[in-house]
Amino acid sequence: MSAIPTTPLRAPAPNVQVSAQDLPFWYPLSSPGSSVGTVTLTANQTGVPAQVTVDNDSEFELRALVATSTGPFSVTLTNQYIRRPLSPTPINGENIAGTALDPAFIPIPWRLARTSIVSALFNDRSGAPNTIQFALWGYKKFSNSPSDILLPNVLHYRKAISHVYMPDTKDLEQLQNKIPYWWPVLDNVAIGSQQAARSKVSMPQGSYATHLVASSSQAAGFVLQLFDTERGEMFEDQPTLRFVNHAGSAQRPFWLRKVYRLPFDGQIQCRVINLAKAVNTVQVVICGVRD
Amino acid sequence: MSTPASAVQISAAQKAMVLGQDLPFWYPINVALTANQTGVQGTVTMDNDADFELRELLATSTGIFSVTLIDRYTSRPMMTAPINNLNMFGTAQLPFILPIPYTLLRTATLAVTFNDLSAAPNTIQLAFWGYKKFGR
Repeated sequence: MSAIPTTPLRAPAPNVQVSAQDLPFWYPLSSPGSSVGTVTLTANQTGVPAQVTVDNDSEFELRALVATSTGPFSVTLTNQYIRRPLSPTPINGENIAGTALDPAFIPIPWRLARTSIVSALFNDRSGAPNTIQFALWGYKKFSNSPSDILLPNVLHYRKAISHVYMPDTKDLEQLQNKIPYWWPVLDNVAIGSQQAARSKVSMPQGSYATHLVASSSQAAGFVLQLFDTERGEMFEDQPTLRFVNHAGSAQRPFWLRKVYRLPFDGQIQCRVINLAKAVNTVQVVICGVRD
Repeated sequence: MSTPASAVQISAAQKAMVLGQDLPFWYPINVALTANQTGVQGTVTMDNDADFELRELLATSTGIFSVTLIDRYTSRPMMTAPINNLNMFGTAQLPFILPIPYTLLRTATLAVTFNDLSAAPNTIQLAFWGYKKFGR
């Protein structure tokens, strides 16, 4: 007769394993030559540089962007290692970074090589002095193991417990080995009282959208229509949805339930109608990945 | 040749598993800072009864602050410069979740250096939430 097992269910974790485990890590951007982890802008200052260098002890798996500031700002991020910007124009802070309460997760973890430099150009939008802390959050990969926990980054992690928000494996595969990217489809356009504005954006082949974000300077917001010229399809028939129901913010993005392949032989066109009885500055951003 | 375990044996084994199950646990650090005080140290040491699987970072405070955090067991800091509390800690309602849990061995110490940013007295509680891993 076999004895009832009395040994622990699993062997104790070897110390070496703990030493090599993924380390949660924050990389705050600093002004060049500084290491204070913040950037200070004067009123309406533009093009203020900042950067951070990935430590030489391990690769860094970027998972989320977090930021605090004393006023609104916009930023353009560039990975200097591959010399690629992550957006064609500056993205508003509220559309690119969250906080610890609601971090702005990127669609899939993105590996940055050791000694990579991520640089940024900040622009103040507050009209007052602005102290910004903008941090890259993720894991130091001491073990160099592949990222096998993708789910929380693909969709909003508080919704990820529900299977209806889970993408299928094919969706995940489409996102692999690409860089995160933000496309402003309507870029801080000042729209007159209850007026409409139109804009368009082109993408290269191999681009996919995972979520939509937008910001509005007026609480009344706007309504939005998107049109894919390649497929000849409108995303909705009537522009009846206020932006809060159509596109979230970096903290709470509007995640698409399926990854959307963006047209490379066409455009995404956008029409926005300002619902406020005042000038409304609107930015609509398609977030995703590209080759 | 081994024989199949009896129902009694299986039941006993299941009870042993319950005894060894993961225990939800909070490890707090409480500090009180004066206005603009910097470099205040706080530590918490893992109990010797189990490894701790850190899953969430939580904090409450009466003002804004920044911290640097280091796992003294591996002597690895978790940031290159002090991080503002809003970029690092959530609350129980909206915790900052680590998608990959971080294991702290029994008796490992987390050391935190606090800096007040509020320009006023600041009472802070950090809570490192996760599971004691008795099953290991």
